[in-house]
Amino acid sequence: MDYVLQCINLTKKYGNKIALNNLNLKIKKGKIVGLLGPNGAGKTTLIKTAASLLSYTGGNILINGKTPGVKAKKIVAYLPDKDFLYGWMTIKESLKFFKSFFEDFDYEKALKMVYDLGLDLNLKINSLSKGMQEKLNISLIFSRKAKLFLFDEPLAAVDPSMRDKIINIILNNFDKDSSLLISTHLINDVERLFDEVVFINEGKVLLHDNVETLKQKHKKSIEDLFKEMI
Amino acid sequence: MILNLFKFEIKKHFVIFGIFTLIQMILSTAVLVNYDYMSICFMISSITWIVIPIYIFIDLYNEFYKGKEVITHMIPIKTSTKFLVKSVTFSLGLMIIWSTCLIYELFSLNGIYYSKIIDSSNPKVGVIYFILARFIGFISGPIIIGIALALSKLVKSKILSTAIIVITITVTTVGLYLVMKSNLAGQENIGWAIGTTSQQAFKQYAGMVSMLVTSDKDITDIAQTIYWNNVIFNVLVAVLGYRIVSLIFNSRKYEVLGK
Repeated sequence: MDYVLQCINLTKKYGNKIALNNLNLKIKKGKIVGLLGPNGAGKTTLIKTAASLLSYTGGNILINGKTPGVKAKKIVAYLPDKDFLYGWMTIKESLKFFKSFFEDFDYEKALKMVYDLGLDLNLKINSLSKGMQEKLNISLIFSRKAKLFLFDEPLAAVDPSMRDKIINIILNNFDKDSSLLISTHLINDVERLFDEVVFINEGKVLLHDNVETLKQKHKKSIEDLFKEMI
Repeated sequence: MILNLFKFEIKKHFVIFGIFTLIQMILSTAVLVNYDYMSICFMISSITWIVIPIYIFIDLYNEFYKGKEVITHMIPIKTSTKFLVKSVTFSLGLMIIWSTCLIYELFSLNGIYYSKIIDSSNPKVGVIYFILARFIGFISGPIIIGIALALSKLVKSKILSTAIIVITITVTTVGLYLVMKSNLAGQENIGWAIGTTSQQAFKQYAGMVSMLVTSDKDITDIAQTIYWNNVIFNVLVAVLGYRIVSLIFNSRKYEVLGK
């Protein structure tokens, strides 16, 4: 299957407010895609819908050919924009939690990543700094052999030096058999991650193209192009 | 995976249920040693049976209405199954807390064993009913909360959602109470109490809410305090309620993180 994520006229309404407006998007296997847009553009709604956490009002969304639900959750690894692990757990317990509930979770890989990142397995999650917690989150999520990874603002709360480390973790662990969709405001900092970018505003895709093609065509950085378009 | 979820839920709620079990156990032992402690035991017991249902409601509300714990919703298990696992965990926890009253009910000379079971015409059925009525109430209790939360998710307005939660819980509980009350028709001073394990309060339950029908008639044979319709109606609430919860929680329209 070529497309890991397909949105066909996807619409989501919150009462009278339209969050996704007949949105069309196709993401191919093996791509890291930046989902860029201002606040309220529909980025989080799109990610949560793809993670089977939100329902949709119209159109359709397919994750590796599956509609959202239990089967789709098995092949989607979602990193929320806020803390999602239980504070009372130790790092070791969080690894065991993932092992218990995600069949595709590679415990050994997670253990190695945690060691490589210098995290102590016995530390409680609520004692971790924001940067350490983000490293742990990404280690856990990336230790799954998911088809689609969805990261919602993964770098928003960490300092620039930690950002670089986290970007390197992503680049070193990304599996070309899967796809990664990352929403972010920090375009300049994370641009080197992206194969493609999607500009989204008012629930619609304004642009979806290869990063290098865009740079050559417009002779501008992605951030400048974003500022111009949004 | 379901077993893992069950273990996880037990671990998560172990402390709160453990604390209340310990308190109740100490009080029940005190009553066994000296029956004069009964009034304080009733009082603390009432507090327990108010606090625990509130705790369960808050947990289920956070999980299935607000979607606070995103991580459990990332797990590839049906939402209705997650609800069932939580309900079973809570039912067992409630049963364990309640079972501490058996310390004095079975071993104290003033307990139910010596006053109602030992000379009963049918002690086996009496004891089965005594335990089953309570257990089935503990199963239907979290499901009543589940129905309320599931129905409230069908509307977007917060005020309407709150009204649906309050009305569903009240109507179901009062309905079960009226079923029990009908069993004691003709008796005087029929009322209700929360959380008491008094022998004067025959063991009739409105789900987990632990609303007991009391009567001043001093029946000494446990077999004469059996009202199977109490069990049947609690079973019906549990079965039909879980069916409603499943239909809503597994439907395409249900979204745990919806605004």
